[in-house]
Amino acid sequence: MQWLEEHWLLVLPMVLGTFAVARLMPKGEPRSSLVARLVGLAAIGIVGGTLLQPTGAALNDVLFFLFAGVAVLAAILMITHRNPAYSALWFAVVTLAVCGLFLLQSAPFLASATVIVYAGAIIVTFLFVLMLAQQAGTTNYDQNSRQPGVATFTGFVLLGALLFVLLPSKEQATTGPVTGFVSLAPKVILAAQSPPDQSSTPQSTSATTAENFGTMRGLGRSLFGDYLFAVELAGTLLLVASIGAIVIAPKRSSGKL
Amino acid sequence: MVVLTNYLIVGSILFVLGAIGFLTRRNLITLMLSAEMMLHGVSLNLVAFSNFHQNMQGQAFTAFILTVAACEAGIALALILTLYKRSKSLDVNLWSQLGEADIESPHEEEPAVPTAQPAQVFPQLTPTGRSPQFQKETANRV
Repeated sequence: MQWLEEHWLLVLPMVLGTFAVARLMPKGEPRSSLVARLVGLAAIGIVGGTLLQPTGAALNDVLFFLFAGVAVLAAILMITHRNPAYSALWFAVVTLAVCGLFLLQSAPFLASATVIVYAGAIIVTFLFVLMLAQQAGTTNYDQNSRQPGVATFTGFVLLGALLFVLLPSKEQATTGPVTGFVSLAPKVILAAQSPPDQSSTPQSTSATTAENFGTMRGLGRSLFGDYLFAVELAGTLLLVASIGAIVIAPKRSSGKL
Repeated sequence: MVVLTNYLIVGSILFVLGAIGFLTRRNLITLMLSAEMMLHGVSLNLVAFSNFHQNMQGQAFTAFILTVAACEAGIALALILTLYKRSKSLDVNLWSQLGEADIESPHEEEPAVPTAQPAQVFPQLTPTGRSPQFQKETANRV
């Protein structure tokens, strides 16, 4: 009971979110889901208002909450929509919002690359396959999800556990140095606690130091310097995957789709 | 500090929502989209850690995630087309015979939903006043 009193701010949005997502999942006849939508919005609001903490920089905060809210809302709409074409479009919205978050984390190249690869290529290909393979009208399997209650409950238990680990507890916040899974202490404390040991990260060369951080030059030096063999392997993987896709895809000679 | 936690929370929410979508939805394409959304959550985590540690390793890993996601999407779409050619449906439940034969299928029987689209209802203007009767008058005049 005492644990519940301490962590009700974490448990409450999980319960509300479970109810909302499980209720919004397609099951049988379309039904009005105004209550579920309101409950879901309340869960997002509780998480955004209490668990996320503003940094103080106004512009950063506004952009972060905008992008994060859009990403989570579009994600819920994506997994609960009855029409897969709309799901694909909501996924594009999720991708754009995540790219905004990338920009805020000083990864401009990754943001643009993700827009090009996901929103530009993958979504369009998915929509093409939908046009090829989707039957006319609504289908039975789109209207009935598979055990939505159990799956949603499991997912939100996982989310609750993740958030419980991520959020610093009260004792840690008051008594200083943080240990455990992620040391969430600011860099100053970390540096004072243990002097930075350069040899502990053998991968990082001089090109990937702080002054090159966030630039394309830094990313290029890192990719083609530290990870050169991995880049070669990734190129080979792309080649193999494209050949495999050509082999697997149905041939025109073997009949129409 | 706070910034890192915020981004990790958003990343884990995206990951879990993708996992829920992957577990519940039955359309093969929606399954693939949910898997891609789980990848988004992971890349967000990596980029946040990259910014936290001020080095490029997380971003380099995210670039590799992009590569693998592109490969995965290409092969998965080819597989989906092949499966569709065999079964004329995108339902993933049709491909559940890969399990053990003596374990019963976990799928419950669902009520059949009418496959036709619900008839679209267009708005209609309500007629105002009585309709004018010109026909008789003109006929009489002539």
